[in-house]
Amino acid sequence: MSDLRNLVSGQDGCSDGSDGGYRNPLSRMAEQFWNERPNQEYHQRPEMHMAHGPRMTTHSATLGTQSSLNRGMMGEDQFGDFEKYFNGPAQNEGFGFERGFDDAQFEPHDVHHPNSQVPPDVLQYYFKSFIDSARMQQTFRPAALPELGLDVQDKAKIRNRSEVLARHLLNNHSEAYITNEISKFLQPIEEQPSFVNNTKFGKQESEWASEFETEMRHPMHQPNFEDVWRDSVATNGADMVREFHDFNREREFEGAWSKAEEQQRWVDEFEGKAPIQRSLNSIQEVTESLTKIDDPKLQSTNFMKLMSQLHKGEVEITEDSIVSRGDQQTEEWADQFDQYREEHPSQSDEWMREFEDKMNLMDQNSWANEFEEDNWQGMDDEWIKGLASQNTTGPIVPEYRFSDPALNPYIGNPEAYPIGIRLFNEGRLAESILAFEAELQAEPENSECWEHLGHAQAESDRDAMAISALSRAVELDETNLSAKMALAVSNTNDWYRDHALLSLKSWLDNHPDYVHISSKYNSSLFNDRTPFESKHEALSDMFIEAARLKTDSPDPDVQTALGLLFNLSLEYDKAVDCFQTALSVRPNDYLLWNKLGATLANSDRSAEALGCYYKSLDAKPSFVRARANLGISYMALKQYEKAAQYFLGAISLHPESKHIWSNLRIVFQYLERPDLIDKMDSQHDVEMFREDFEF
Amino acid sequence: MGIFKTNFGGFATRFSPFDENRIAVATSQHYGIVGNGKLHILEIVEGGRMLREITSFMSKDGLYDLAWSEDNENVIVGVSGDGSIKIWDMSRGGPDGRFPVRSYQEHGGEVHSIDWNPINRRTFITGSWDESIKLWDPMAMQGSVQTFKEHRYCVYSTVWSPYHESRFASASGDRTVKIWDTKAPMASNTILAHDHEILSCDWNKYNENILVSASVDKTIKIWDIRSTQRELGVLKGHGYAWVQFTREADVDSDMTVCLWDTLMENALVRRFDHHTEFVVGVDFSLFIPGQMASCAWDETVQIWNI
Repeated sequence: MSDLRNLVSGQDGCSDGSDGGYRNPLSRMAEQFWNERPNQEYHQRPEMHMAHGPRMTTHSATLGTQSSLNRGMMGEDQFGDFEKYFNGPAQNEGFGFERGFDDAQFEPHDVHHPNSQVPPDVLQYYFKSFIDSARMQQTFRPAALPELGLDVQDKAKIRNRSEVLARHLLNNHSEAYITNEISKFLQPIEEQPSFVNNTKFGKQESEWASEFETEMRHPMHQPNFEDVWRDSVATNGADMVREFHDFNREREFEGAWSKAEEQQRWVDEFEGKAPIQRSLNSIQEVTESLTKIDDPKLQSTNFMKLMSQLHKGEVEITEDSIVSRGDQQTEEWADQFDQYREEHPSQSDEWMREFEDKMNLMDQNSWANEFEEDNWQGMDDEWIKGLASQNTTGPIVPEYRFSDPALNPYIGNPEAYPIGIRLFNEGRLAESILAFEAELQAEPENSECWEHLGHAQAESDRDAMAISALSRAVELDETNLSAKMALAVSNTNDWYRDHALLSLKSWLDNHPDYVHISSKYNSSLFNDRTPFESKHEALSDMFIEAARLKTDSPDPDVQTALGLLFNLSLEYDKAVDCFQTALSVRPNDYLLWNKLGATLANSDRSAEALGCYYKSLDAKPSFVRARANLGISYMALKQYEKAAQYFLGAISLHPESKHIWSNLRIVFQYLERPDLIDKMDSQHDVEMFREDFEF
Repeated sequence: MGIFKTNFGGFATRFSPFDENRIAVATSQHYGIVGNGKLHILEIVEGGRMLREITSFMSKDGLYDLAWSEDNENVIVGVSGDGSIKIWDMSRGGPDGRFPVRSYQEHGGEVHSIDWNPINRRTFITGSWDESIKLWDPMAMQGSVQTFKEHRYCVYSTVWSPYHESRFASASGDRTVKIWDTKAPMASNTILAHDHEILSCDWNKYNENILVSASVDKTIKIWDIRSTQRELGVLKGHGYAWVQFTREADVDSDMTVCLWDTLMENALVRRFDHHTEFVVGVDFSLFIPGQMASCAWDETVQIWNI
């Protein structure tokens, strides 16, 4: 702990012994209030506030009115703050919800600055992760949130509106699933301390807020929903009567089922709470006793089969769900259960209640014992089946999607793997991917090959597939340290912070030199419930300790890990230091140079970032990402010609990258060259721009 | 194709009925869940290849929809998550120019939809999550002229008929589409259009009896309001839920904007892939045939010609 404090107060460095002299990174963070999205892989998307650049210079004369809508004028006097806040170059992208903006009276507002140390996009990313997980049919992984300065109103809005939104996104799921997802999502928000609004409009707002405290009522829960149908019967005729009855019958089922929601929630909670590291062990322990139950009736139930599968490892618990290798089986269980439910609606109701009672008494660790007791005897084994029909929504990590084998020229080639490596080193990423995939079709357990594939995907800007491939590599070989580190990088890029921490910890735990370090820490620190900050702090301490072990010859991997950790906590200065230390050991590591560059750029030191990217390209001229990052930094420095050159260069190496094309388009807008935009639209062919730019 | 980067996610975009080179975008911070809102007025330059901001207006809460006045080229209305309806006048200069000339606070919940009457050009209707629809006349001083309360859940969309001055349609999360006449307090017709929430509806511009509804169940249904027991046709949307559409053809979007021909079932004419997040707002130019605009949660608004 004290190590970290030292770091914070500038007395210590990542590279133990380096000169301190940091400014407090927390205060720097406040300066970065408006900063570029932290969710940059080690390349950045252009900061969008720059789109306002041209606006400032060209005043629209087409309005045809006398009034001056010149922005320059508007920014002054008592509204100076407002202008600067919303329209100036140092634009607040995220926080600072305007409060007390009382338009009717045209009074100047009070701008409320909540906790300004919070990176502005935290909330946005949190929402985005929920939306994305719904869209990708995955369960939502709640993340711990720093204190956001939300007041009662904000929370009420979030609560109400996200429920409405969630119901749209998840409409194809059961009610139980939806409510569970929503409550997972809302929990970190609800746990936030409520900021008290001190503006003079506070009172007015808190009155208004009380309206929003009432929960949105979803039709399902409304008692009189059938009125709608009844009314329409009156106006639309007899056909509706039949539909009305159908609808009512359906609703009976909903009612009966709602108690099962409790059960579902318990099941989901259980799945969610299993700490990922210990899950396998504890499952084995827990299921051990179950598999020894002698009652033949019990043994034959599907539930027991599930338990024995778990014990044998045929089924596994990932962070959020239970993944069965035989999904078909759970389908069958689910089908059976549905059928049973249809045939015996009231009985379902009854044993649902019983089950719920039972489950409420159980604590996660002791449920195994409970099952051993005699009260099993009296239970209808049907409800045990019910437990089995839980919602298996699939693993969190997306399945790796192989490209079409029919189109892969390397399939069947015994040299596919070395060929792939050669292609990768030459910068021919797409081809190397095919070669690796070909190798993996033949040898799916080749952890190293998965790792290489992951690297190739990451460098092709496909972080999701990279994560998938690297995860596979790690699964197949727990000792594959380089894959773990790469996984940590990709997770950091995509801002899966918790996963990044896990990858880093796993790296540390499997490294012969450092394996002893984590044993000093309470291992429950790394389960799902711990907030990110605590895990981060502990892990940073561990890595600092690791760094201390080798002060004379720093381990570049440890330094890289620290660099990633400090990026995750937005302590860019420290991250810079660590990457620099790593580079002192590996001066030709193009990835490290790029990371250093990206860290500098993310902390608004774009000019310094340029040098790093150049160094990266010196070491590997075909490294697309560094080239694209150069473009982004040039954009930040308003050197649009150069930005265009580098984007084009990047595209020529990697023509399918949508990101880079759209960045290029924005550069063309800054350059006020609609002809170039046209050119781009007519044909996405980078060669067409040779005459315009040198690259 | 012109792109403009907004600060916040886009929710609605509309071409001006007066000026072919003007378009507005309503945006909200944080997916409209919490935070501020901003209305941008943009100028279309170079035949649609570029967009430039003329001015913008901030609001305390997110803006979910907007409407241009049919009566005054400089007046524009935005509706907000805090239940307010704000009327801005672009011709107002000086420091006060950024504030609305009128802000109505009557709805008891988020206002999700607004439409200005194209025939009488004087009134507009708003639909809200407080389950009501209100009729407004900005010339009337007291606020809303009428309130229609029949829906049982959020109203997501309210649209005037292009043919009948007093007729409008509404789409709601209570799974119905209702047809109303402002002269009567109760809906003249209720269509049990879908089994799930309906996010959007619109009238066919060329046939006064045809109406389209779009639901989170990813389908778009075409209705003849004279016989609403059965839909005329169903268009299966794609990938994702959201559907929004407008006048001539149906445009349907999750992260793509799709153009359908309603005369042929499941006839997808074109698909536009230029956004990287949910596309929530879409519009056709009134002046330039084939020119369209879309705005999305990727914080861009884009113009193109089909």
